[in-house]
Amino acid sequence: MKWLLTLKSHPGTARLDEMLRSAGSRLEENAAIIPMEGDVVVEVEGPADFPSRVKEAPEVKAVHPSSDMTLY
Amino acid sequence: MASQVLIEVIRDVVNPFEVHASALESTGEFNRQADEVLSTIGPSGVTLDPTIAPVPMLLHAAPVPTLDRNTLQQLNTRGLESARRPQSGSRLESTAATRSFGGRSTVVAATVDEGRIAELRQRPDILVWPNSELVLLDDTATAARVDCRPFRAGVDLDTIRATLAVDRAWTDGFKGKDIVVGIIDEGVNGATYPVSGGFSRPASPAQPGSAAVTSHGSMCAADVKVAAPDARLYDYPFLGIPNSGGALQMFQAVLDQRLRDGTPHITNNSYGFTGVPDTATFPNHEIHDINHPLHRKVREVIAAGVACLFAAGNCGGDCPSGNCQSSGIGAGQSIHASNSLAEVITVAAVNNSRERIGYSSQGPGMFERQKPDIASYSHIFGNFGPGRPGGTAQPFDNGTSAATPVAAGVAAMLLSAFPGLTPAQLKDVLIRTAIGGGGWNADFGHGIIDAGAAYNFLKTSPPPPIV
Repeated sequence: MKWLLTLKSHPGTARLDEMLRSAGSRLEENAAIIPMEGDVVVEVEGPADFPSRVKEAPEVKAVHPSSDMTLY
Repeated sequence: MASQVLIEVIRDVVNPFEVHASALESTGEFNRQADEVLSTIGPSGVTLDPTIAPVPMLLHAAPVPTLDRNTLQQLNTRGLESARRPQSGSRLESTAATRSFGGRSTVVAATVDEGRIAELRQRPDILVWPNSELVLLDDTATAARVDCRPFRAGVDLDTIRATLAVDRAWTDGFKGKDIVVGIIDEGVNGATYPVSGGFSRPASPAQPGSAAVTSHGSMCAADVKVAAPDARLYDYPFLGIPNSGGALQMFQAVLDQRLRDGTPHITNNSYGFTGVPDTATFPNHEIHDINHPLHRKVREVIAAGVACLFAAGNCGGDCPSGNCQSSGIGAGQSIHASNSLAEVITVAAVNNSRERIGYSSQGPGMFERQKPDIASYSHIFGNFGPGRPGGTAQPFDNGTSAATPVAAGVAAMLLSAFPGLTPAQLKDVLIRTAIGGGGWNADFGHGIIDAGAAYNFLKTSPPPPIV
């Protein structure tokens, strides 16, 4: 599944990679780090229970789905 | 090529009310009067409408002040007198109320060859007037009519431009020049619809301008050009299936560009969701969580001065699109996610006859309740249709997907004339001047977009300057 992970600040590439790997996930290919009013948002490919896997990480502010959409 | 016109033959008509009444009462007299007018006009290339009797005119076309003032006063007096009298049984009964008037001219409805129209315009005894199609504007009548499968025929660009009434703004030179519309979609064909910027993900094969001419994004590009042929386009192509992460990145690119050089001015967003997931199971889904990063980014972009138009969706209750899930069909559950944010302009779809297209999603919206904001036109021979760049793979440009860029083009046209308009001002004028307004309803929002009325409103009531 694809997720949008909101972090309080960018923890650095090494820490982010480690956190995602331990949650069975990875950064979405070619995803940018999106600044958002002091936070940053990254796109992640991860399991269905990804939110619960990262909720204890101090850097994590929120996890939202990146749901598929349809052209109208 | 022939056009429907009204031809006014300037000639004195004695007892005009009685003459007209006799044509209504008798087919023979109708034909005699029609023949008489036709012989004055010259019959070649002229076909009179057999359903409309010649109409006498009491006032001169060119003002003759004293004479017309007297006639108007007389009409006013006689009209009031007649209103107080018992009704006469017959049109033919000559009364003091009508007897003393003299007709100045006679008007007939006709279909006339273009060459003859030019010739008739040169004649001093004839005036040629447009005979444009009228539409019933009351909400009840409009709401009662729904265009569902099989849909009515599409219309060409000239027809939809006439319906939008872009002519005055265009005559004044405002066709969207210097305004940039960003199309966030599956990509635009740059060979057909040149793009001058945009964004794609690094190493993505979907580069701005590289999509097929049959793409959904190319359709959107064509429809922006309906009202704003001089607008510039930026292309923000999704890679593969659109998702909110991809949209988030596109909106970030829009924001970056906007803060760098003031463009784009508008984004078109003809995509969204087709079902509503269960709230308890998916509380953070885009449809339920207004603080989803995509919605926050959209609000940032609008705050930076970019008007964002979103399609209402194609899950209206009358004839929803085949990909709609039952959870997302009909009133109250078919306009959602970013498409229902208060700050965006949410666009429903009508056809050229101003009938609601039955798949157009219906409010209330799931975030902001008064959604859609306005309705705009779909089922147009823009990119798709006979002789159009995209061919006939689809019969015409369709969906609220097409209605939205038509509205975005109107917005671009207005911005080219009034470049200081904020997104909120732009939305306000589109709502204020919408046809059939006078309140919000779930099908049409505040009414049907009227480019001419919006332009005229801004000409007479320009928004205050930005301090």
